[in-house]
Amino acid sequence: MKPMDKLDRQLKDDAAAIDAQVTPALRLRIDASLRGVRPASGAAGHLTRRRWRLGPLGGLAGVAAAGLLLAVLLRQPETPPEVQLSPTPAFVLQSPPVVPLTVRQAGLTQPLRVELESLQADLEKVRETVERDLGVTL
Amino acid sequence: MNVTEDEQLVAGALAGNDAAFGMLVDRYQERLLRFLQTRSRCRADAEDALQDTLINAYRYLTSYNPRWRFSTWIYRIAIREAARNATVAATVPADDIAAADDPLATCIAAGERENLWLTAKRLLPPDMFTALWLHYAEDMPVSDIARSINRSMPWTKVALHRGRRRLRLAMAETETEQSKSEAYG
Repeated sequence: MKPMDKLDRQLKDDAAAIDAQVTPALRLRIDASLRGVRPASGAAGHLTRRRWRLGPLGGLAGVAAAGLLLAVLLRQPETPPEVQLSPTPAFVLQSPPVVPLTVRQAGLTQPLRVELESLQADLEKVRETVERDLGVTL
Repeated sequence: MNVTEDEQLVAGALAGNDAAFGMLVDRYQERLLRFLQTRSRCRADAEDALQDTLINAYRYLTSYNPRWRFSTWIYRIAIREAARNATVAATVPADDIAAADDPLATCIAAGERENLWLTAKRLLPPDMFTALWLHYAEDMPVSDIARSINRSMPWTKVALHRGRRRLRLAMAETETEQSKSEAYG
């Protein structure tokens, strides 16, 4: 450690020589103004945060909260509750209209491949007839 | 100075113990007032700044980080208050405040020489003055001084060095003049 020289000593002595006595009137004024103030609680302070992190009571509170949450979850029924659906509209309940269909059994006399070729040939003939009669290209 | 004890008092005050903050006020009021007098134009301004410093410290106590010394934190508030008061005081005509009202001139017992802090106030910029004050009057380490005045460590070291050098020169000049006047009667 460096020994104090004259300047260092004088600066220390002169600082101590400044009269800084707080008068009783000033102290009363300070106390009165402090009574009207509360520490701001908006921002979480470092001390408060650390207390939550380190305090054994904080740990116990955390365990208790976790237990409570678990109990609530376990008490929930396994099957979901029945949901009341809106009534089915009347038009859905009505039976669909009956469409009269005429079904004829195909009279297959040849193997399926031959029948398919015959059908395709018939379709081609019909297409050519339509194009010729209407003057369009299909 | 007991850092742990300061921190305990802060924790007590935050828990609602008003007496704990009262003890911190007891501990710091004179030190802060001494400093604030060096940065104010008159004693009344210094007292106002002290009151505002303590109120703000109490109000924003939750923002105190115990990683740092409490003295560093409260000095930071005091420096801000002193700067604010200086700004307000600058709007008051200088004629309204007599030069003799300067706290450093009135509070220092009349001696043969001028108080060196009065010389420092005249010669040094505010931050350099404050760095020297915290070093000599508060025995603060450089890291805490830097934090208090919101400057970097290198800046603070250079400021301390330059401030000392300027004051040493001023001291030498004063001593030369004194010896001359003594020699010539």
